[in-house]
Amino acid sequence: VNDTVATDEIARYAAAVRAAFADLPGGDREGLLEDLEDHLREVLSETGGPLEERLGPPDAYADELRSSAGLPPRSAAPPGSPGLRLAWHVLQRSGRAVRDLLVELRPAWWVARGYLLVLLVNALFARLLPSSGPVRFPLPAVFGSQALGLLTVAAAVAASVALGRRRATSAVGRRLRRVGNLAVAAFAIALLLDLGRNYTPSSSLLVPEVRPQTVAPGSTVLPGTTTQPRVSSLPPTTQARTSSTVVVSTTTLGSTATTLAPATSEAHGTTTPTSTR
Amino acid sequence: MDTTQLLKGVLDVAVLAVVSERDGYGYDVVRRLRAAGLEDVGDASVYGTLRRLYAGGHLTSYVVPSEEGPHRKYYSLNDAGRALLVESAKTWRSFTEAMNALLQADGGEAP
Repeated sequence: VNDTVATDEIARYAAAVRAAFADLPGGDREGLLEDLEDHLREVLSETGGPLEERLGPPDAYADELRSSAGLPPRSAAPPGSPGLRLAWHVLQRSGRAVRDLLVELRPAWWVARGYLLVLLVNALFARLLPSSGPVRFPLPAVFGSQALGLLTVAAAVAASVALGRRRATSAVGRRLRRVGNLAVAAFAIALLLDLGRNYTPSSSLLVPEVRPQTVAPGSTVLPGTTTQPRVSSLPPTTQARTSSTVVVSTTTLGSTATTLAPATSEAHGTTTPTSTR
Repeated sequence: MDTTQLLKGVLDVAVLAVVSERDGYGYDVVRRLRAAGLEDVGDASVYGTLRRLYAGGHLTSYVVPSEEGPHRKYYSLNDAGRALLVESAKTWRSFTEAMNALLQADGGEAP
């Protein structure tokens, strides 16, 4: 082994171990570190290979040394009153738990990101080109086809996951990715807020899919016109309960009608149902 | 069976036995434990154990200057260490006897 390379490696490893003992009182620390460099030199001269191969990472080495020496495990508790220390400890633990959870949830975010991106593009199209039709939710339609929408979502999810699994190689790439993630996340929040507003016509980006059994395909419906007869045809016992759902669906239909064709209802008020989209 | 778990419990006795045989410095003790058949013993565990036995007053140490390398810190057993070794060896023997009897009884019943 080259001498300077060996010295560098020993210094690097020893520094990492020393850092892991930063919380120990001076006497304990000195005792543990006393033989460290000698030990590392012995190992290197015997194995020749990297120190990690035989000793594991410096952190693990430090923990093993510490526990076998009968010293308490590493802690980053700051000095202060016991209550403060406990609070700090709890805060630190929960912070670590949240961070670990977020790391574990990363793949789920990649999947959601792909889906949200398709939805985002769809919503933009619906806003800029009202003639392209409403945004379908939860399954967006591409060129009016939900089958195509499904394929697009699958492709976007696959691409997003593939991108997530690759590490950004440059600082620019990392920044771009962060900005993109933030944009998609902001859109997701806007989407949730929009959903929370019960599809009010004024701000609605999204329109729930119109079910064929409530509305005949292709027909323009005014709020409350088709639903009324259905209610009266129901048996009296269920009527009270269902009427509330009908109200909801009526308002939904109302927003559907207004967002479906905000321009056409005025411009082509008399066109036949089949000619409207 | 995971020997690293077993080693944790008996490393003290093993280290005491090696040092009682002949004074040794840290890496020398590691090497001799390995040669004795405890291949899974971790370097850091041995160094930590030596440190703890020394801090607990069971070992004494002295530095030996060496020509080619750094000065080495040798450990040797003192009276307290020797007493601990005798005590630990007794515990170990009765423990292994019990375990052996248990395994033998079990082995007799097995097909």
